[in-house]
Amino acid sequence: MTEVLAPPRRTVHQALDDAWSSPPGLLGFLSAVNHKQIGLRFVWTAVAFLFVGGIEALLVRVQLARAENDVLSPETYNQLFTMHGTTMMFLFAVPILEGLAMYLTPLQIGTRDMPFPRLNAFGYWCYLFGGVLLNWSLVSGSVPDGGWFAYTPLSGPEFSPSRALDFWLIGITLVEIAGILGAVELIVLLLKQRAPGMNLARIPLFCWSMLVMATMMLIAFPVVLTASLLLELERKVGAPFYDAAAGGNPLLWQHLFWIFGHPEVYIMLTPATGIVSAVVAAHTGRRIVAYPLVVAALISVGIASFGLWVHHMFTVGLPQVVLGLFAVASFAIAIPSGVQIFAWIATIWEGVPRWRTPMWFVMGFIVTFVLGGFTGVMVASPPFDGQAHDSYFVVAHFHYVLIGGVVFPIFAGLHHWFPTFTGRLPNERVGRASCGVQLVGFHITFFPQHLLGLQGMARRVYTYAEDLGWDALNLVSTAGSFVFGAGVTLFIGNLAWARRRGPRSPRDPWTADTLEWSTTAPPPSYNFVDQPVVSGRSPQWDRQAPAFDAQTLEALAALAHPHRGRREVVRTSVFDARPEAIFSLPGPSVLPLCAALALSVALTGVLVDWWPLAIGGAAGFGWALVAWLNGNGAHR
Amino acid sequence: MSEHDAPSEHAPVSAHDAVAPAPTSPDQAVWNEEVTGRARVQAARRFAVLAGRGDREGGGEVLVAGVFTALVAVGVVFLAMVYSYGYLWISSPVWPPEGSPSRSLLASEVVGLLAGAALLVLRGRAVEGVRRAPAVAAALGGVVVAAYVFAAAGRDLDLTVTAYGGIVGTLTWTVGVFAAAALALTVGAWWQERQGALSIRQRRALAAVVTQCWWFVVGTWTVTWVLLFVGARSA
Repeated sequence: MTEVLAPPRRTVHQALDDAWSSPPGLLGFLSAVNHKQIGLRFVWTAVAFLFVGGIEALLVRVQLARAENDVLSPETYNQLFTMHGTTMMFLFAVPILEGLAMYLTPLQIGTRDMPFPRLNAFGYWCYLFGGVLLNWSLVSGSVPDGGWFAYTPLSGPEFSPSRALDFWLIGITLVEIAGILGAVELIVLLLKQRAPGMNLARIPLFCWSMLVMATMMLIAFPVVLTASLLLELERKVGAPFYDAAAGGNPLLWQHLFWIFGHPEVYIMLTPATGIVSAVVAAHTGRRIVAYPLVVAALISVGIASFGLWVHHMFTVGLPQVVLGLFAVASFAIAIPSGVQIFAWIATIWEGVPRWRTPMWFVMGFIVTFVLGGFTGVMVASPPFDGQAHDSYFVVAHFHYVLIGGVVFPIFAGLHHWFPTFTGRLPNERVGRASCGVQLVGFHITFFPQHLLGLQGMARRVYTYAEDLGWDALNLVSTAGSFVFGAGVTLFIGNLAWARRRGPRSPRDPWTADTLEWSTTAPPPSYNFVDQPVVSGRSPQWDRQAPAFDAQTLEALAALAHPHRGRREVVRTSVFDARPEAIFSLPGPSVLPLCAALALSVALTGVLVDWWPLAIGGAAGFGWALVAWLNGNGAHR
Repeated sequence: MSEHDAPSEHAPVSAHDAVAPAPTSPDQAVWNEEVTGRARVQAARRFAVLAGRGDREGGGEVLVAGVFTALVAVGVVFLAMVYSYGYLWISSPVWPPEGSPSRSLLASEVVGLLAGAALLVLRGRAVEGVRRAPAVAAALGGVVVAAYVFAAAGRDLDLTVTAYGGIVGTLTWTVGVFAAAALALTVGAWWQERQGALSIRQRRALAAVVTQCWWFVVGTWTVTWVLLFVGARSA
C-alpha cells in the first residue's frame, strides 16, 4: 500500500466545503439543493402553515362557543373548517415530517445528501407554490368550502360552481407531487446510500419509519392525484365520473379519497413513531426493546393501512360482509400499534429516563394516542359507527390520534433535534411548561367533544340551538383551544428565541446513539469529513472495529478528498450495505425553481381558464425539464 | 467556510479512523465475522479497485432505481384509473352504454403494442453501440404515438356524455401521455448519445431507464387494451 502524505485537516474541510456549500446571496438561496437547507425549509414553512391552520381552528371554536352564535356566517364557517383540515393535513403534518426526514435521514445513515438533490428542491418549491395557491383563495374570496375530503357531488360543478374547489384541487395536486417526489428520494436514499456496514438490521428505527412512510406515500398519493384529476375533468370538461345521472357514481370519489385518506393517517403516524423511538432511545440511554418486532410492526401497519379505507364509509350502504371484513382489519391494526407502545414502555422501564422536554412530549403522546386508539376501536365497529358517524365524537377521536399521535411526537422531535438544526439548545424550563400547557389545553378542548358527539352534536354545522344543552361543554372546549394554542405558541416561541439566543449546544447534548450526533451541531455542508462505517445498530454507542478490509477503507477514505470538486457519495448494496461504487451528485441550480414555477403557472392558467397562460406555463415547464436533463451538473 | 466554522475532526467511527485488522494472507485476509463469503470479498475488492483508480460513475444504478420507483407511483395513477373503470362498470346497470370501441381502434392498438415490443428488443443493440438503433427506436416510438392518436381520434366516444366515455377516454389518453413521455425520453437519450459525452456505463444506465419506461408503456397498453376489449364484449 502506497503511503500518501495526508493534507492538513483544515484543507480537507475547505475543499469539502467548496464542493458542497451553496453559493452566497439570493441566488444561493434560490438555487440551494442541499438536503439540510431543503429539509429546514419544509419544516419552517410547515410551521407557518400550522399557525394559519391554528387560527382557522380558533375561529371555528369561537363560533361554537355558545348556542346560535353569529361571529361567523355559515359560509365562512364552512370555508374555515375546510381550510383548517386541508392546511393541517396537506400543508402541515405531512410536509413537516418530510422535512424532518430530508434533514435527518441522510445524517442518520451516514451519507452526504439525497440521491436526487435537484428533485428535492423541485419538490419543496411545488409544496410552497401549492400551499400559496391554496391560501391565495382566502385573498381572492373564492375559498374552498367542501371539507378537507371534498365529497362529491357537493364538490362537483353543480353544487360548487365557483373556482373555490379548483383552488383546492390544483393546490393539493402540487402538494401531492411534492410528496411523491420526496417519497422517491427517501426510498432510493435508504436503499442505496446507507453507510457501509449498515445492513437492514442496523437501520435506525427513525429511518425504518421513514422508509415505510415513503413507500406508503408512493402508493397512496397517486390515488388522490387520480381522484383530483377526474374531479377536475368533471368540473372543467364535463366528464361525468361522479354524476349518477350520466352513469357515474359519487361513491367512486369516496373510495378513491379514502384509499388515499386512511393510509394518510398512518403516513403521519408511522414517522411520528420513528421520532418517538429515536427520542426514547436517546433519553433513556437504552436501545429500543424488541427492535425486530418494532420493525415488523411498522411494516405491518404500512401494509394493513391500505385495507381499512371502507371504515370511513360504513354508513353509505355497503354489503354487510364488506363491513365485517373492514371492521376486522380496523381492529387488527391495533395489534402492531400496541407492539410499539409496549416496546417504548419496556425501554423506558429498562433504561434510565432523563425527563427532559422531548420525553414529556413522548409521555403525552403515549397517553393521548392510546386514548385515541381506544375510541378508534370503538368507531371501527359498524353498529357504533352508525351512531357516532359525522358527530363530534369522531372529531374528538381523530384529534386525539392526530394531535396526540403526530403533533406531540413532532414537537418532541423538534426539541430533540433543535441542537442539530441550529447548534443551540432551547430553554428546558419553557419547553416543559409549553408541553404541560399543551397537554392540559388539548384535553380540555377535545375530551368534552366525545360527550358532545354522544349527545348528538353533528360536525360541520355552524351552530346549534340553545335548548340542546351543549353550551357548557362547547364553552369549555373553546376555552381549552385557546390554552392549547398558547402552549403551541410558547413552544414555537422558545425555538425562535433559542435560534438566536439559546446557549451553544455541545456536539451531542443527549448522548444519543445515531450518526447525526457524530458530526458538528449544526453539521457542515458535507455532513461528514470521512465516510462513516457502521458496525452495529447504535453507531455512537458501538465501538467495534468496522468490518471492512484496509483496501476498502482506504477507497472509502478517498471521499474526504473531492475528485475535481465533485459532490461524491458512496453507493451501497440494498441488503447488507456493501460498498459498490462512488458517484457524484448535482450541485445548486435554479432550474428546479423554474420548473416548479412554470408548472404552477400552467396549473393556475387551467384554474382561471386562461389557456395562453396554461400553455405558456407548460412550455416553460418543458424548457426547464430539457435544460435540467441536458446537463445534470453532477460532473464538472 | 460558511457558518459551520468548527467541524469536529471527524466522525468517531469512520473510514479514516478505523483500524482494520492486518491481512494474514491474500485470500483469507481481513474480514471479521460480519463479512464472509467469497462473493462479498470479491465485491468489496472490486469496489476498492474501482474507487482507487478514480472510477466514480456509479450513479447509473441509483438513477435506474429512482426511475423505477417513480414509475411505481405513475403505475398507481394508472391502477387507480383501472379501479375507477372497474367500479363504474360494476355499479352500472348497462355497460358499456354506447357500444364497443371500433375494430380499427383495437387493430391500431395492436400495432402500437408490437411497436413497443420491438423497441425493447432494439434497446440492447443500442447499448452495444449500434448507432442507428436509438433512431429506429425513436421512430418506432413515433409510430406508437401516431397510432394512438389515430385510434383516439377515430373513436366514437365523447368524454362528456357518459361516465363510460369519460373513463375510457381518460384511461386511453393517459396511456398515450405515457407513450409520448417515453418517446421524449428516447429522443433525449439519443440526443445525449449523439453529443458523445457519455461513458459506456452512463449509456447503459440511460438505456436501462428508457427500457424501463417502454416496458411500462407496453404493460399499461396491454392492460388497457384487454380492459377495453373485455369491457366492450360484456355488452
